[in-house]
Amino acid sequence: MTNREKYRRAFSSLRMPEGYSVSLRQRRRDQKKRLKLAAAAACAMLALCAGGVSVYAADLGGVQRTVQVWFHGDQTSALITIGDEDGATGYSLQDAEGRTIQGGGGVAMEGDGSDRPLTESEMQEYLNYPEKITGDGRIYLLYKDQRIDITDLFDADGLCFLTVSSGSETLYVTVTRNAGLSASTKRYVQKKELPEEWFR
Amino acid sequence: MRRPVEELVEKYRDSVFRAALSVSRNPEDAEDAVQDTFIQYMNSKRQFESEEHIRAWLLRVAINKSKNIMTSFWNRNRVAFEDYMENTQFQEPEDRSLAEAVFSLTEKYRVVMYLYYYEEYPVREIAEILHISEGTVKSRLARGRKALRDILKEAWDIDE
Repeated sequence: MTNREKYRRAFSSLRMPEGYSVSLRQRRRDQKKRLKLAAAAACAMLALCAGGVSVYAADLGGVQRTVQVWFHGDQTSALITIGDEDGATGYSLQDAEGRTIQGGGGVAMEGDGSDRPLTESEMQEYLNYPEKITGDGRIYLLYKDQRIDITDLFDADGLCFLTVSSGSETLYVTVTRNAGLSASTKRYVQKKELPEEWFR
Repeated sequence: MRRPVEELVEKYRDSVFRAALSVSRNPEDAEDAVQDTFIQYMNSKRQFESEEHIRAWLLRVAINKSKNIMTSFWNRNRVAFEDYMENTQFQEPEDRSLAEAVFSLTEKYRVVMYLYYYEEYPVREIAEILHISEGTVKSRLARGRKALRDILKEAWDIDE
């Protein structure tokens, strides 16, 4: 067999997962909401890098709950709106003066390509994800009430691997010195699995 | 010319998925890229010269969208790739070895090799799809081939 024949035979087995259908009608609306989630994530990262805050206004309306989440190492009230007018779940965080400092929204994709609002616990999990911040020339990882100085823990590739725990939950966190971080409940995410852009 | 998007989904969704997977190594991100690619086609008023033009456009958009997704979202569930590979049924054991070897390469080699070996595009057209020079395509192909040879030994021939 030629290399091309070998390659084609191997890659012909890689298909979209069973049961996953391309749902074009649904996705016209979802695209807007998913972009919102992406924008919210980007805002958070920018805010953390800059050591400041960023505002992303969320236009919400639906079943609302106020929950406690960790944000920048402090417990903060978050208003979570489950199933807003677009069928998504949104959140907004306010400062002590009641001003919105961050917000966003998102949907979860089902196996058949349809979507549903994120549940309250999924949104809380999203909001409680570890964060990396810098200050005074140091780099810290924030996870709930924990603040860990990781400045001197990076290897030659600019990666830091550490485990954080809270209650029964253990997270394996891979932090890059110059970009984002990735966490898993199963194992450390390795360099080759991270976006190449993070190392440029 | 235009084709109904439903026809294109039926015909190209796996190709678009593979191209996206070659970038992201994440099946969930690749699925998102597939969805977004066909939606962009649907929303676009663009006219195409031929079906081959549409195919190249879909692959280019999927590759770019995969890159965007990787940089837009927190990457939090990236172990999904290993689960996906474990659950994939290959025809022969050596197929799995080859696929794993390809995915161990860096993204820039994976994408060029996919377009060359699977989609069978010539170097010039790969350069157009990726907006890079032909020399860069050739260089990435050569380095990708050498890396595969180092990993797979005689299971990967020394080719052009």
